[in-house]
Amino acid sequence: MKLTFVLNGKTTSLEVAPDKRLLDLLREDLHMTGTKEGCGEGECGACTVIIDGEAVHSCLVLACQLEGRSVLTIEGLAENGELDRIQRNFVEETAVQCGYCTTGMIMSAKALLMHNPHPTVEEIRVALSGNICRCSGYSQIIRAVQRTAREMEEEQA
Amino acid sequence: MKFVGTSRPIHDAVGKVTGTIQYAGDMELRGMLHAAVLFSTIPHGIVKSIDSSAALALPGVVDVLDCFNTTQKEYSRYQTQFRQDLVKNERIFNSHVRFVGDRVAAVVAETPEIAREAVRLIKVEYEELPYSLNLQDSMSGKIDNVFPEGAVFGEYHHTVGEKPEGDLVEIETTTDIGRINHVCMETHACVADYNKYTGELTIWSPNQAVFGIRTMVGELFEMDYNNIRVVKTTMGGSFGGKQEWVLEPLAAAAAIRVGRPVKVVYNRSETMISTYSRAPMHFDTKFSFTKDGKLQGVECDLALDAGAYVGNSINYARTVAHKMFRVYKYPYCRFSSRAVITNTIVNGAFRGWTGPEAAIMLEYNMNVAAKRLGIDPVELRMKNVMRENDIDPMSNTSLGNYKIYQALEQGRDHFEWAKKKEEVARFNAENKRYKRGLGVSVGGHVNNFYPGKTDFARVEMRLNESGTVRCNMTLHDHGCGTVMAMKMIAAEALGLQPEQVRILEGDTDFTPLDVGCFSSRTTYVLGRAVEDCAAKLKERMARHISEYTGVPVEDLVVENQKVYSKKDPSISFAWSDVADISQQKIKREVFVSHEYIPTTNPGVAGAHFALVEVDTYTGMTRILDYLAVHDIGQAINREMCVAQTQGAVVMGAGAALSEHVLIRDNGVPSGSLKDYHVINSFEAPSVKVEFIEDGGTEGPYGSKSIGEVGHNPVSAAVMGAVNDALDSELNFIPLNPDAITKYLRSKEVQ
Amino acid sequence: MMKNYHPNNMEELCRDLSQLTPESKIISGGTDLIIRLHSGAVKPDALLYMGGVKECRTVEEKEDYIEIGAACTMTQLEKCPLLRPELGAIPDATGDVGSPQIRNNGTIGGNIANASPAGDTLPVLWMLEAQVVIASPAGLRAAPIHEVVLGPGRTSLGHQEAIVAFRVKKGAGCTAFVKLGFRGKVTISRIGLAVRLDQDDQGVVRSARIIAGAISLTPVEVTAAEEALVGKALTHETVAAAGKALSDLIMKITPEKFDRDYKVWAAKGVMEDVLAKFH
Repeated sequence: MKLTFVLNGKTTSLEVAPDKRLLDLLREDLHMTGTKEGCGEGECGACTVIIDGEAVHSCLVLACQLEGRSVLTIEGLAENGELDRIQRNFVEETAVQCGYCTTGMIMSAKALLMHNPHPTVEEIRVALSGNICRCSGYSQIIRAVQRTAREMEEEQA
Repeated sequence: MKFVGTSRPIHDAVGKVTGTIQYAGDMELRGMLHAAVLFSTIPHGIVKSIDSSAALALPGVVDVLDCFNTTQKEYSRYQTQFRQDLVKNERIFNSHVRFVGDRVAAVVAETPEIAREAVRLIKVEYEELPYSLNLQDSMSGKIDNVFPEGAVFGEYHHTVGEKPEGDLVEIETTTDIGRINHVCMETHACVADYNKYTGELTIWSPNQAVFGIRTMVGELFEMDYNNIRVVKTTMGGSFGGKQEWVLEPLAAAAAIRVGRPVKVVYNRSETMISTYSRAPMHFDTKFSFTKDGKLQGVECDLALDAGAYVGNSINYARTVAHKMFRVYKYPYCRFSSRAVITNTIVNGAFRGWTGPEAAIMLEYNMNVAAKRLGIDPVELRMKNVMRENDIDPMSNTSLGNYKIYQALEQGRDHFEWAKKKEEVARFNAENKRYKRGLGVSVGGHVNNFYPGKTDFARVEMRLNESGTVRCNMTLHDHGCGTVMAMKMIAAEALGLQPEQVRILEGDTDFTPLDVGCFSSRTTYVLGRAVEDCAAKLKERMARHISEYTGVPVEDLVVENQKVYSKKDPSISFAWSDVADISQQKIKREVFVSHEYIPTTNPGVAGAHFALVEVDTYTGMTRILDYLAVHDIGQAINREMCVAQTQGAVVMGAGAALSEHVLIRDNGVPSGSLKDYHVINSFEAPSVKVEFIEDGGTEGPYGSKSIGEVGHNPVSAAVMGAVNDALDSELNFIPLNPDAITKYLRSKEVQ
Repeated sequence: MMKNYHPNNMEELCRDLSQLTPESKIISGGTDLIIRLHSGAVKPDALLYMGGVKECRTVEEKEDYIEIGAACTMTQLEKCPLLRPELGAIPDATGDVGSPQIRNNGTIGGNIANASPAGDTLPVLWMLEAQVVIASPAGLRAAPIHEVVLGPGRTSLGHQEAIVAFRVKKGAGCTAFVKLGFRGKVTISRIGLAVRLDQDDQGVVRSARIIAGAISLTPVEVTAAEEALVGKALTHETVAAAGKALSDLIMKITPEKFDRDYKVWAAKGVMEDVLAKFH
């Protein structure tokens, strides 16, 4: 099928099998390997991307579901070599260890803050409950999200 | 200190948050093909025939390797050193299949999808044999035909001291530990390339020992080591799961066959089933105490479920013996063990290398003893732990500046143990559905291989003309911050910023021979080598300037990126000048090579405290409070040490409460995270971490290890807390809802 | 070559449905189907994507019922103001399906059509006696939920039929749902309890409807638990009696290998938790 969708702000068209997973479309067809496969069944969150403003597992989305929709991946966050605030805070709060959960975790965090700029700790824990980190106890990650929310709030004021 | 003890992001954090860093599974090489594996669908049997015709006919398929057309030379996945004395009973593809998940064949194709589809088209005919899924069946002779030697390997006995006499209280128990998996977020992946014309093989993988792979693959394919290059890629977690060689020989065989790069990526299910897990263990033990709680002796018999191949299991089982005196002091220990083959998932290394398992067994018995003797569990431990400079009789080495007693004291105080005891008692009296409990545990570990196995490290440093330093050493960062820790040590010792020291990871073409990232040796041995090498580099700079200026070496100071004369500070050279002068005038590069051999291995331990709440209706357990106190000597990268310890607690808590690799009655394991429950962000407890940093060790800046020892006490602490909540003596893990409610049901029946 | 259909409205849907064969698959969120597709367990000749059918993506209030589009995502329903407080059991259930990512993509229609015994929304729609609106090339028809979901993975839908909406009567009173899983969040259901209670001002239960999911092949009514509550207020004793009734039912009808013994014990916990949402 011919698929046309918006990827990281740019209209993108390609010829693809309708049952190709978005994860494979990104990694194989478009050589965008920032999104990772951790389980292939929606249990680990490593493959998280944002579609039409909502965090989803890209291992559970097919090409035939994407026509006309808007997809944001980790590659779409940093602009002109400058890290998105969330990315910078993940670095500075020691929220990055092996890094394999990181891109998916950042996308879930970004989606949360897009909907809820003032999340409580409980809300952060729920929003990230679909992203497994095996290296940490999540505390640095939660701190990075809280710090990002605070900075966004300060910028608003 | 400027850097050591502060907190810094991991060295490749920016690459990771942008998704630009490359893991093995992200690699793309020109002409690269993809391999997918056909696994045995039966737990025990012989492959009679393989029909790959339909697979070979599929467009995009290049070749099919199988047990009939690939080398049948046997190897040990556990080999890391030259001429290592090991049982070698595994093959790349096995015609005698020994578990569901055993490799039978592999398809090499243009895309991973085509390779996997082609695998589904291969027809295999098996002759099925009786199988065993547990220790009892194997030990009763049901699968003696599984190997020529039978099903039991590595019978081992070791006794320390004399059996005590006197009026002793004896505690006789069994402990059973279930099978768990590392669940690294990065599944196993490997890329291999083979140049048919030059005979050069290159292997890229996330691994803990590049030289180990080179050795093992070199022997397997009978290749000169000069023709094998192994590169460690960015690792998405290991926890011991990437220190035995599963994909590397397979990818190498495929690359050699087709003469092109081949990538193999195991998905989650394949990683859980066909790499390895942590072995189930069964302990029969007898502990003897004096009436006032002094431990007098431990008799321990261990049967370890090795799974289908020996792997590391003989050594792994014996290593429990080496843990017996890392925490407690007592005069007598009689230990015996054996590794038993079953037709299940192969078992192998896991974080702590039997440290957690030994702690589960030891701490369970200490808790039972505390109850029977009427002694507080913290007090009982404080009565029995080793102290500074006590000798570990298993290794005959001093425990050095060992602070476990202080860790217990500090933890008992900061966790408010006595106050919590009262609160818990009150809560339980007032509540029917929910019950709370307290647990304490201690777990000990090591900092290198001394004295049992060889251990040494080489570090090279050279001064760049730009005034920075390039350091060459063999590191295998798991994602735990090893590279940054070394940079911080080097920066501290050299007087540079960590960003001004370049350190890369293991690559057999460029970095020095190293035994690998095991036994928590990296900070203690390689870090110390870095510290000493830095001193040597500064000394070399001074010597070059001394030669150039005539100023005696003793009068030269090397600091603040300058070399200057104490007596006449106007004689001063920036490091760029030193490099230039060395090149042009001294006609030498500023280069040093330093080798370090450790001769100490101090005790290193943690005291962990847990408060849990058990829902006696649903059997679910919440951890309400947790404190880990660690005798770390000196934290190098502080927040990373904290983060690692917290991660270790969540991992150990998962093992205690929910993680369990399911194997069905027909021998088919579940490789799905739907069935294997790790702790997620919703349920992760808040974990407080405290460090006792008294230095006094041979490690860099007085440091000791943390990455494994942080994990050793955890499951034992949580298990103890659950037993306290239920006033029970449950002697197994996981204590999941089904297990807890089963116990409560049986109590109600009584 | 796999065909794919992307209808944008009901008319196009009915047209595209007429092209489907018994090997075709309808995909909405795809969170169950895609796993089977990727493993090669199913090999459809065509995929029909429901997510573009705009009539299927809304929740509308009609005179005496609420109509829920089958392609509404779990998150959409979790946040839908029309569903609380009366139909609170729906957001209770959809707000706890899998992970946030699954909820943002998975749909109520897919959950029902997948017909897993552990499906979270099944006991809720059973309890609400939902009508299922089904489209086909011939037009629309409605059927009660228990005539659509027949057993594990089995529905009465023909290969050219698609669920387009659910109709739930208004005036339900007060409803709630609680799931007992393997852990607190992101888990398959082990027992799902969907409850409607009609209570007077003193809290005395005038009528009760209690449906349990994940204890049998399809959701079942826990009549004995209902009887334990009717005519009484919710007290420790009546709640415990309702819990015992659920335990007894599980003992009777749940096969042992479906974790029966665990569920018999844990029943009192999930019953207490769901009834705690009422007064």
